[in-house]
Amino acid sequence: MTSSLETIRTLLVRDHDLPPERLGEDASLETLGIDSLGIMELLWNLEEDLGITLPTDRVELHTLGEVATYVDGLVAERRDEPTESTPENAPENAAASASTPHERG
Amino acid sequence: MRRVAVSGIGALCPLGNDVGTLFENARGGRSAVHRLDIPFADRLAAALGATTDFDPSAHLDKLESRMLDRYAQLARVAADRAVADASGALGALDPERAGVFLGTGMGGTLSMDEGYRTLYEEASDRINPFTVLLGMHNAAAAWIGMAHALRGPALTYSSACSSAAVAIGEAWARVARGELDVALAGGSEAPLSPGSLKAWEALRTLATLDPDDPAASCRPFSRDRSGMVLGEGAAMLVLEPLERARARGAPLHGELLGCGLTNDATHITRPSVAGQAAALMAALEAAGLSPDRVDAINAHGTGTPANDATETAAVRAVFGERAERIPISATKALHGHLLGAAGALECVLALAAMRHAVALPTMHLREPDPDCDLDYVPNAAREGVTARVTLSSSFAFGGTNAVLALGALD
Repeated sequence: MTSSLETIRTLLVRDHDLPPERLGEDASLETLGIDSLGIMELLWNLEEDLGITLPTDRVELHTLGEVATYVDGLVAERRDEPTESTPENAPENAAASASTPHERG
Repeated sequence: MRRVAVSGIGALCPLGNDVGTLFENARGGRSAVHRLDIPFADRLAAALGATTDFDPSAHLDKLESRMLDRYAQLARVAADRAVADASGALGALDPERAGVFLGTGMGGTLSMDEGYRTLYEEASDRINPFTVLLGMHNAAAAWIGMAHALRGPALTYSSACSSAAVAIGEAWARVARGELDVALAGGSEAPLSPGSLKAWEALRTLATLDPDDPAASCRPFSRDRSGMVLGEGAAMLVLEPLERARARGAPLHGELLGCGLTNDATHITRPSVAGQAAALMAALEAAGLSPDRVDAINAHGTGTPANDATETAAVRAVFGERAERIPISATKALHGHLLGAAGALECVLALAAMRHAVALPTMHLREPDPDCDLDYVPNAAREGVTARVTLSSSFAFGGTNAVLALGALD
């Protein structure tokens, strides 16, 4: 089970006007029209919504499921670090706490 | 050299978002300068600006709205409208012989300001990942090129307040020399960020607020002038060979006859009579015209004490006694100073003025200044002024002077 998939779907609907029914786990980002910049923006938003910090190494992500698995791994790593875990950053609250820092101006 | 026509115009500016509306507002002397109602207003000595009624979401998709700074959004939409207005200019075209020439003084300064606010005010490291793409000066030209598949040069000119006139002049030269068959040329500016407003204020260039009538705060050529008011907006022109446009039967806005470019090479801000006069002469030379052929001038006319007196002296130096009989319009009193877009908007106004046989008014000219003693068409439009040739002047901080010579077409 991938817990961040719903957050990813919410962001793609919000930022790209994509219909939710196209956003299955196997949906290809390229097919959805999400290019490298779109993936970068998505990951940037997930950092905030899920309280994670993306590593600087490059990663190849092609489907929504791959993004979710990658992000879930980072969330799990974060949970393993007891000093940094905060309840408001938990994925369950991600949609509610989604911010729109890039739409300010 | 080929003759070059203006076959399309798109403009979004404080006076209106189509040529008809903005021209009528200029003709009626209706100022778009107003008090700025922004959170930062209390930090400004005079919270004044001229804003454009523009909602990007009505024109661009969500991703474009996020990836383009307001200056690029304005430019994109102005370019779309210019292309639509040019009725088929992009048809039957070798895309490598079509280019974009865009002037902007401050590029994505709103986005840069926002990025710095995130970093320094919020002390957050989560700066918008598109900040580079939003801020870069060449973004607007790039997006316009992509939108219309123009594969010739996509160039950005940044010479402060003459940027757009330089861009239009450079585009004219390429089309006239036969290097390009279509050029989208103009300028765009969205400078009303707190940082930008404060920087212009610190340089002591901005007008003081007229408490009785804020809209009259910018008063070019008036003895009581106190400076300029910043404005935002974009204007784009479609330039193409006159013969090509006529073969298509396209309705035309006018002809671009030539462009004169000079550099003061004296001082970073102080204007030079010699430099401005040389640019006026260079425009006439490029157009193959003698000074007695000039019927009207759209002045740079910023409303700063230094510019307006210097510009008056430069016009006198070029035209001699005849200078007093040339109607000179300073429309920045109405739309504010659009900086890197100013030359394009004023070119649009000058072309429309010729088509309607109107000399546009220089508004808020309350007190004659002995150092500004020409015919500025004070405070009311003059109807029935037939002009075949109009010069549109743009003089910039840094010293780059650009004068466009515009011609009427029957």
